[in-house]
Amino acid sequence: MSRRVDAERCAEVIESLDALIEGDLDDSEAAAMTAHIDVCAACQRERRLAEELVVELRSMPSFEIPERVMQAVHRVARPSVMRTFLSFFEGAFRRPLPAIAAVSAVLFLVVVMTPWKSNSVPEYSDQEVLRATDELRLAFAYVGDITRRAELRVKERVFEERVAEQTVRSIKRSFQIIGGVGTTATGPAATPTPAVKGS
Amino acid sequence: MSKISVFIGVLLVALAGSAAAQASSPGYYPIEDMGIFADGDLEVDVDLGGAMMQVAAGAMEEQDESFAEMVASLERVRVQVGKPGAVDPAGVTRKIADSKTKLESAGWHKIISVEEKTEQVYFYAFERNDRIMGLTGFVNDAGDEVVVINIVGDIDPRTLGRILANMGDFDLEQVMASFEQSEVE
Repeated sequence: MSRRVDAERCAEVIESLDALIEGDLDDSEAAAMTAHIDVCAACQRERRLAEELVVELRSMPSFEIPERVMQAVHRVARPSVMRTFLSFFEGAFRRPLPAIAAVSAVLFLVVVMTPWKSNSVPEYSDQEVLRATDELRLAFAYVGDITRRAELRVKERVFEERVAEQTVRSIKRSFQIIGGVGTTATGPAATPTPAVKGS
Repeated sequence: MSKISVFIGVLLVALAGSAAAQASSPGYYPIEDMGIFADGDLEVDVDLGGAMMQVAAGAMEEQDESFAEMVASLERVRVQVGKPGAVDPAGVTRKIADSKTKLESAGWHKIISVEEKTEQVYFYAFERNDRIMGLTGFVNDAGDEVVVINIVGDIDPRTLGRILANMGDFDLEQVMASFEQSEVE
């Protein structure tokens, strides 16, 4: 019988361990819990574990949670929903702190893995921003340069192959025809080529 | 304590996964892994992304609204320019050809291609749902100058076209000089 009473008391203490560690209990409750923990090796172990977990969680890097995520958390964290949520974890862990740690982990994963655009922007110096804008202009200047080079090459090809060469052939043919009917041709057919290349 | 270790381990795995997810954005191409440039080859090495891109977009808003708008929708911009060809010009050509094959097999579309003896110019776009999600470009000017570009993000082709058209009269040398000047300052 006394072992069953002890087990029930242990369960109560473990359930309120996080409140004890956070200092949320009133003095009499805290004293009663501490009195039990002082004589209960199992609860001492649980408190040590809970304290280590709290230290670990507090030493984790902080990150800013966007407003829309916080609103979602507040919606989820309504008391009745929260109870159901914790009771699910209670079965697995039998301790609320690990369950809270698990919830924190899930939230952290959601925050880290969700590809949203954060409204919070780190502060940069004017010089850093100026440099970044210069780099962006330079980057797009290179994009422009590539397209311009390609455009020039296409123009050159089209012009040389379809216009200049055909013009030269046409002029040569004209002089050949003129030469054929007896008019003197003094080789002007050779002149268009440099003129075309230079244009 | 072991549960704490497991918990922290899970977080580390999540962080690693997040980093991998960023690297594998659809328009991302690892230009650094092409191995074109050796130490000291690079004359220009731009790598901008994340929050800095948003800050830069905000700073440009007053001067050029459409440019700022496009920059705000980008995730990352990388440009590498150098002269690696003096040592092994054939190697540069081969590495660019390898990259072309990789891009094409990964679903990128060639939008510009100029192949001449002295110069090769290629530009590839990665499209999804009629939007350009990435641009990758290579210029190999006979190994004398090599330019490699990768722009990741939601790129509106009309806005890009308008920006490039406005840049019609720009002089790359002048932009370069202004950039070098700001570096010195």
